[in-house]
Amino acid sequence: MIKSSITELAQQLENKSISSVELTRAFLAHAQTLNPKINAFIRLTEESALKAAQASDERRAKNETKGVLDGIPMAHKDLFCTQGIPTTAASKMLEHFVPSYSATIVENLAQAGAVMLGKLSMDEFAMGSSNERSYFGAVRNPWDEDCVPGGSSGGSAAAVAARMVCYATGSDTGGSIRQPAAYCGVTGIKPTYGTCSRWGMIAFASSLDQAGPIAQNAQDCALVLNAMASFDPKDSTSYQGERPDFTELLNAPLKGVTIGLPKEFFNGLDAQMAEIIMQCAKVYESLGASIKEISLKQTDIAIATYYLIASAEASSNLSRYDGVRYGYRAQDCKDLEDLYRRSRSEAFGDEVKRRIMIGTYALSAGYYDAYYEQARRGRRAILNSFKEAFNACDVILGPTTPSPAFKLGAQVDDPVAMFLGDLYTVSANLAGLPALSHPAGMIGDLPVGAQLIGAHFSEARLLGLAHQFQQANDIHLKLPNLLG
Amino acid sequence: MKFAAEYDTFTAFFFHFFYIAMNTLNTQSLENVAKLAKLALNEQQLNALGGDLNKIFELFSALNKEEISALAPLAHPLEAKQRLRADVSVQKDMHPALEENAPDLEDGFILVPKVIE
Repeated sequence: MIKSSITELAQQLENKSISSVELTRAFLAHAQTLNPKINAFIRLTEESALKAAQASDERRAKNETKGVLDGIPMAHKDLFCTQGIPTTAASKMLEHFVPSYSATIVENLAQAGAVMLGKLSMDEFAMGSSNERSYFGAVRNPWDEDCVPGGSSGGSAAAVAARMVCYATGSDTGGSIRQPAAYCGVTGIKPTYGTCSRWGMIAFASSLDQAGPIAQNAQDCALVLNAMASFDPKDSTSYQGERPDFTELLNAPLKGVTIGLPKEFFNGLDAQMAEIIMQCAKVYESLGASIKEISLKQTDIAIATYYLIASAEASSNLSRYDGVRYGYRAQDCKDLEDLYRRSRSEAFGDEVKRRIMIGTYALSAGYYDAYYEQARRGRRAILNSFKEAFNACDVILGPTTPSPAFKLGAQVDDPVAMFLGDLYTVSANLAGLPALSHPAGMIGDLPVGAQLIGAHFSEARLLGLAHQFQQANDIHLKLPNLLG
Repeated sequence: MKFAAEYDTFTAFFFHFFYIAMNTLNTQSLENVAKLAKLALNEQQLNALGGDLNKIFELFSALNKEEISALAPLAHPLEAKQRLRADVSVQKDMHPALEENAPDLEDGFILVPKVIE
């Protein structure tokens, strides 16, 4: 039963062929067996999970079920605050931090009856594309344990791929939901900026961060997003308008939908990757969509723009970790300055320090205009190029990543190579657009993801496209060998 | 590294190389940035960071285009205005809960090293 989708499990719960407690026990046992190998979980919360499952079963017995997610096991990326349960951002800095409140998306999912099994690993403070930057050790890709699962939501994607949970939450600042979803052969969506509340989500780059689901398929993502998304007065950037039913276009005809393939995404792209994306486009064409080549100008400035803005915002956001009120504190400090500097240096990992340094430099007197301000101009150029592209098509299709998952350690000492791997994902964050990754094919034994990018608030359309792709073939149903 | 012909104008080409020459991060400038960032980094760490950061800042030179310099900076991806709430306390006293995360505490006060001698 752990291989079933949300819809299938909801049906089994509904017809009482299983209980939430049985389901939760099965997922917990599977997670406990696989976690020593995959290291997706930083923490399992068996006791509270079984209590939540018991409560779900009691609601069901009284016909008070909260909906399709009620009683289904899942887990949160350890970036989302969970009241009374340690929330670490995979950093030594927050190793012993216990939040006094829960993130809004955690509350929303709890209200929908979600059964949380624990907290999932990630790159420290969501800074990384390989999940090798977790203080709690690297996460491994269930398809090949010598490969990375991607990052920063690597624990979330690996846990879903290995069916340690039915679905997971992730966050996406420059591709952190989509890239690991692609590397692990699962589906993930980053909604339009402002769709899901950032309240209680540990900040990396506030103008880019957005929460979203990672699940086995697009339909499951739509169901989870329905529960996660809400207007939240506690997040000053939360979108105030209505959220649609994200399942409403799952089966809407694709006739009349124009999919654009940006020529810039295919310049220099690995031939096997390009072939898989072109095959994917043909499936969409066979489903009624029309395909055309488009131009997405400014693709060449995306990485520079993203890493300047994200690092600048990170250096500001992470200045709160000073060893005074909460978090790690260095011992035997001679004065306050020494306490600040040593606490931060001893507790932040190398990648976090590197990005704080980039951001601090880019924001410092004399360099602000040349770097940060120029990057904000670049951000407008990228937004304008998307606006132009969406005059020619409804949805953009391309690869999520330049290649399948790489080997552990292959890029860990080469930050520039790691940054360049985010080429296809960062632009959607800069423009605040919704973007989804779904499995599109395999290279060898490793999955490859296709990315759909839409105009603001077009999540339902993206989910509909991916759902119909997944009805037309079974690539998303392939399982890693370790599941037998 | 781009070739001269790939730059929009000769001026952009000239400024790019002038810029790189002026902005190569040396140990002294890195030390200053580390101080601003409230990080304590030893010489070995600064040297390792210096090599990486110079490569990364070269990557950032992709933004040196006149067509981009002519645009207005963008802060919010949807160009929305920041919403402000009324300046009224809405949370109950969380003092006891927040104290639990404090690294060093005495009588409800967070202790830090002496600031004034």
